[in-house]
Amino acid sequence: MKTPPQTTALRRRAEEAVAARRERRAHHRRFGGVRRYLAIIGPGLIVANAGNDAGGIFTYSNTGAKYGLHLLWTFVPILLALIVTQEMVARLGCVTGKGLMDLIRERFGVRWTLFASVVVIVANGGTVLAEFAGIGGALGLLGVPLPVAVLGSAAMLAILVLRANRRLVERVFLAMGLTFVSYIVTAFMVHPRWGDVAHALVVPTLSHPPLKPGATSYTTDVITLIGTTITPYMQLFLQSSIVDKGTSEKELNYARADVISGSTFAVMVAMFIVITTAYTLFPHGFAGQDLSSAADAAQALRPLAGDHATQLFAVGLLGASLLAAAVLPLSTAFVVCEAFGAERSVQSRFGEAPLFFVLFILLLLTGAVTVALLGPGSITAVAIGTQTLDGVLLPVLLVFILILANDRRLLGRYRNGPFNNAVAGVFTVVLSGLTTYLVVSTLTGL
Amino acid sequence: MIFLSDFLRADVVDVQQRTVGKVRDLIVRMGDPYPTVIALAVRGHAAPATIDWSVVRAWENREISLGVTAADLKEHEPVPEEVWLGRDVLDKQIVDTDGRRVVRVNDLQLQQSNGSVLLVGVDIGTRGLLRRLNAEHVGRRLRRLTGGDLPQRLISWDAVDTLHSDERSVKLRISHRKLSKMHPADIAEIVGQLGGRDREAIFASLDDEIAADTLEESSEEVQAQILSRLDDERAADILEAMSPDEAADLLADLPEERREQLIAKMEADEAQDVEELLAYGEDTAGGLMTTEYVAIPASLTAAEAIDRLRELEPDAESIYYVYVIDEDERLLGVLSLRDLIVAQPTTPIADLMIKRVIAVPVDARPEDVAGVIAKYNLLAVPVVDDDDRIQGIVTIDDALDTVMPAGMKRRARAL
Repeated sequence: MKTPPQTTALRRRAEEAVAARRERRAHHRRFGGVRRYLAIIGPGLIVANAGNDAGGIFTYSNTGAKYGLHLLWTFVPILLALIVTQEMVARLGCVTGKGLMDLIRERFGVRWTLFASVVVIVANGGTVLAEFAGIGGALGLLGVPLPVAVLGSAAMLAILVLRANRRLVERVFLAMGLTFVSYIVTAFMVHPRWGDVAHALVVPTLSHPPLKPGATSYTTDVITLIGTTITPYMQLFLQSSIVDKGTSEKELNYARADVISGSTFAVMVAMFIVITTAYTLFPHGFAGQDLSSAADAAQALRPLAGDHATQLFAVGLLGASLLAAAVLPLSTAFVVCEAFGAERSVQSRFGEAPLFFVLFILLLLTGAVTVALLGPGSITAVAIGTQTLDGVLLPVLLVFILILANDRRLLGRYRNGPFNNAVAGVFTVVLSGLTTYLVVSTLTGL
Repeated sequence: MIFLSDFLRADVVDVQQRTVGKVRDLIVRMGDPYPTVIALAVRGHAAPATIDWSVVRAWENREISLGVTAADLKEHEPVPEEVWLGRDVLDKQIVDTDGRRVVRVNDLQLQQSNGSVLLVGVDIGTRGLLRRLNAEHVGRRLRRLTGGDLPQRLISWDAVDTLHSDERSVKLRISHRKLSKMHPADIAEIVGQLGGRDREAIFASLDDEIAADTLEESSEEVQAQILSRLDDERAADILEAMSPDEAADLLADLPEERREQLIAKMEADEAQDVEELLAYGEDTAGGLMTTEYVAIPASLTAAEAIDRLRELEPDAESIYYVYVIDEDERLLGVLSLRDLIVAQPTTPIADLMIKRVIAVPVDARPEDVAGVIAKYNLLAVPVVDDDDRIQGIVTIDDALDTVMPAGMKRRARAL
């Protein structure tokens, strides 16, 4: 490139003006910096906290209300399993630069991809159902009739996701969902006996309060707790976001740190919900039975918010549920289309990407319509039951992840070591065992 | 039509009609224009793991007949540029350079030619998927109920560029020769559909000019990612090849430390241009403009002006208009390249130029700049400071980008 000689003279004069403009620029840069930081918050942190959605909140509330502190110890092995699983997924993403469904397609072929896709669609479809239960429950607390709440939200989400600035929408919902940090504050306000909490955390026990008739079984509740903390969709999203950012194996240790801190934070929040409900709801007639309404769950925040507990709970639940309900159908449609090589983009026309749009609308509508049909009485049952489904389907995805993470051609020296295989292997076997027991006992119990 | 899926899991029988195993994979030697099948990978105890294609006598109905006995079979001698189709190509993503998009290999089309079998096409359609699931007939029958047929969606191997950024399949890592011949806007479109690893691999294979053009057309996310990962020298080379306004916009989005590093590595001239532009706010005419423009003194004649243009060799986007300035760089007039060329060589520029120049101030909003360009039917508009001194120009393509919704640009692909 050549520049006219005249501009050299111009430059000298321009330099004086530059000093003034620098100031303006510096302003822009400061705010640009904040924006950039928001953009690179670790995927691990975001993904793990996406677990604190409607299903998570109801499940953790139910765990504390029903069992008190008796199931608190399970969070230790769950956290270990969560970290090990997410680390494998992060490693697969960093080293191969490909998404989880991509790797399943490339390593196992069309048949297994079809199988994995069905599992993912069912698991994520179930989770979308839970989110709509959350939306219905939250808006119900604020006086909105259920069909209006869920169908209206579904329509709004479809328009927002397909037409509006998704980033902005996500941030608003994320901010609303953050109100659940109030469980941590509440947990301190109810003055738990921390000695008891520590004991319940480190000493495993199978003893628990007697379950009332009609309550779900102990095995079911453990699977549900695992299923809501380590969800199939988390693994898919974590790997996708790592791939999108192009994180390489050189940065694997950052990704690991991100996974460990994100998982730990998410499990901490979960534990505080259990502790809070164990001290607020458990002693007041909820022991041994399942939560029957969002209003009951909201009472746990009473020590913090008093008469406004219901509103506080509703806002948090609404934000968390809307966020997940906006993201889940879209990303599920995306990964499935990617695995099959189908056209996928929000900006396409319907005719260009039929599979993508059909899956998206189907997931969104099925969730909303099912919740509307089941009625307000089944909000908590739906939110928690779908987490059991996640827990039952998780071993399928774990087996895929384990095989991929052990593939020498794929990962070379980054493949699984004995520690990873031992922890993930034991976890998969235990979870599969629990699931099999649940299925068999349900069938024979009929 | 013959497909790879017809071969996979086919029985392999020797000359005495004894089954020796099942086909596990086909091995080809990469070649121009089409790869040739050179061996079979076999699963089974009665045969070596790989068998040379030369001993295959016939193949039909999912059965491959060998011309020798099982005992006489020898292991195929691997060649350096061989590729296992099922393992290395099937189910992977590739670039369809005709359709300008990233697609997935559902099946591979083979063709017999002079006794050898060539890889000629890639099946990217639903039919290929169904064939893999042994459901092609069911699918076609269902489709016929509604009065149509499932179309074959095949693309020629000629038009395919493989992606493989993966170090462990070096054999397939070719130069992205076909990809680099596409229009940079289309390369950018493809790059946008890929994961980070494949993006880097593609940028690494493009030359500086094409990489620069592609980067200009890419989304901000892709730009920031590529620039933060390329090594400094290469990144600086690409930035130099970009127009200064685009380079400045891109650098503005990088963390300060990285930005300083890259500017330090750039040639002094280009670095100065970019730094000046960086001083303007992003959402102003100053942030939008480029410093590549042509300005000449009013004292020249038309012929002298054309000579000056030859010396300057201005870039394509800056040659639409020639600006006339006084000793203080104040804008006196403007003339188009056409005016210059059709004028008598001896006519003074001062007589040719249009004296009432449409210009915008450096702090004008981008929408207003685009509005001015649209209203006066301009190809570029000069940007002036408070004293009417020219600072740069905003060209129509940059102005258009600021007012056009992102979705529309993408849709342009379908046309």
